[in-house]
Amino acid sequence: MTSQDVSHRAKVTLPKTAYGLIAILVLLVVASVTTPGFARVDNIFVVIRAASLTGIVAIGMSYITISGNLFALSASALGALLAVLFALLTAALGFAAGLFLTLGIAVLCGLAQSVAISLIGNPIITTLAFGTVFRGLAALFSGNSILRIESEAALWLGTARPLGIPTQSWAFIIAAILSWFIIRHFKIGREIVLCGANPKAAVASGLRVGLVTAIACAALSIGVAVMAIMTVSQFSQAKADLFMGYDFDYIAAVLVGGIALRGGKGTPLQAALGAVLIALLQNFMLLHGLSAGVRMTIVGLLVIASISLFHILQGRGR
Amino acid sequence: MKLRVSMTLAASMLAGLMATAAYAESKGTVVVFVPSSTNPYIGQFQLGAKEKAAELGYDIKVIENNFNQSEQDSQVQQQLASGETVAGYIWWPFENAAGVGSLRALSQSGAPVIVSNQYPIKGTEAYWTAYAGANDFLSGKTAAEILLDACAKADAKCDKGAIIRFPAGVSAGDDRATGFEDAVKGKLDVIDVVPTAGFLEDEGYKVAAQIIPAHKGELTWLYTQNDSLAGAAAQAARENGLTPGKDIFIVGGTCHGDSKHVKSGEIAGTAIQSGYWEGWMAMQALGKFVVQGKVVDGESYLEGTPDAPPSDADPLYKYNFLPNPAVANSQAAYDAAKLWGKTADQLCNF
Repeated sequence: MTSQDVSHRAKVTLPKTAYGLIAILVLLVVASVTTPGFARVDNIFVVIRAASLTGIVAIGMSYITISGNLFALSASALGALLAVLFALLTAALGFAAGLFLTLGIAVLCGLAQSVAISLIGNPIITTLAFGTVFRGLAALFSGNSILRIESEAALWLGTARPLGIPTQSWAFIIAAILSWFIIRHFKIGREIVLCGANPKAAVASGLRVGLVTAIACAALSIGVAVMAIMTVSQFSQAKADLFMGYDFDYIAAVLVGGIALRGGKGTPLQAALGAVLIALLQNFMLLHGLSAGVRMTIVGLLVIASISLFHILQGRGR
Repeated sequence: MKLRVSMTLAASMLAGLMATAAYAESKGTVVVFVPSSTNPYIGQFQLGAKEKAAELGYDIKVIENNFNQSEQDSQVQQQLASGETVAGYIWWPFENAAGVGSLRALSQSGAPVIVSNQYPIKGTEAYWTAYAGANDFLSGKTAAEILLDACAKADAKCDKGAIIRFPAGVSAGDDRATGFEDAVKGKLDVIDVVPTAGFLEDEGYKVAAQIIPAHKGELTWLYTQNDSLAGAAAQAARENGLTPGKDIFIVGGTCHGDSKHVKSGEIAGTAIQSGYWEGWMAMQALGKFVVQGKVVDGESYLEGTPDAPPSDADPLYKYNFLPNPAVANSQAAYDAAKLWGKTADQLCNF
């Protein structure tokens, strides 16, 4: 073996999604060895189902992060508002109207946030404020009561298992593939990545930064709407305090997936893998009887480790 | 003549208005510290407290926190610093242990303090006038009795099971689990206790969908601490090929959430724990103390009569517990169930 061979091999780099897959495989092996019943096919389906709704929102959140806008802290509150509106609209106008109007309202909420982000310039503060507005509106519209729906179509959407796989998991898989395709193969997808990689250069070169932010916010809002609609459909009811405290889960999936915190690097597929990895870890801890506090601590540590590892790998790559 | 009649009428109206004003004069303001009413149970609690306050002639000021003890502590400081003279306080801490400092500060104001919903921590008796609210030990015990009854009647195996409990640190979850485990000791085996991260269906489903397949073939019952979690557990059981009420017995023990699972027989039964009546009785306790001026040592388990609520003239005890009447798992039983003049539907479907 020559020294040239060695240096050539050292330069071989894995795609970012491979890190997520390797982490999932390592955890699968460790959990299978240490946890009876973990490696069963039905348990793996359970894990994917547990990752699905968080994963769908994380995929939407990845658009925000990749576009250089860090995170939106309004996702869980928007979910509550959309859940309440979907229940009210479905009860009044039927399932189909409820579904499409909720998706439309979600896009409008996303666009309103993007305009505010463009004006204020700080996505964290802006979305935090919007989150408070959304939660307040959810409480107002629901009258602080439980809203129930009676719709066979909604119940099917929330509980059916086409080909033995829950509808939520189908939605997750479709969202992951579609989002990855848009980022990789559409012009707007490439603009999202470029805006995140260097916002100043993006402005100077005439990229549509405002449109990019609008698309990113709308993508997140659609993901949130899908989560809200599927949750309400599954349990046939909505409340203003749904999804409280979930924002960290979405952000954790994005970060654990290895998407660059400052934007410009990563794909929605990584966020999806991040969600699956966290769900696997949660399942492993749950089967070992660890309390919610311990589970939260470990997931938090995983996020810190992921960000640190990502920065180390970035440093080496320079 | 006309002038005299007009003046007489005007004088009568003025006298009437003055009398009405005197009659409607408030007995003072009651300040209620509670977590956010975005939680429908807490919304019901506020409604009950407000209606009873209006009946007794008090104004009421509700100060909500966003499920945050630090925020509630700050609200207490601001209320006390305002110097407002109040008729009394109703204290529902978000985190019972962490809120003791604020409870002591309220008690030092000299106004009566009624603690509600969270069973007071031992050693804090000097900081509060009376407790008026739910008894979570009793809730757990009632759920255990419902489950044991269902097991006894069923021609199916009923031995090993699990508890899906409220998040760690929620004292209601600790107390309900203790009450339940004490009641089933020697009769049922608790093979797992798994905490959720919340109180609603989505969190219940997340946990149940994972522990049911993990213990497949073993679990014969589940206790979930409320009906929202129980309904989600029933759905997860069905998805795993188990028929609730036949292959697995599920009990929540407090009617909170969709009642269809109880009415259909999927859940072994429920018990009425009413947010409305809890708020109502906290306000009644304060009114009793103002009128009677004393507290009787000991506990009082208020009777769960179907028709009339308890009288304002009854003595106030140090501990006053809301009744938890059990409701069987059928449409007819649910329709017939009443507590203090309100139906289960009114008290549970809010």
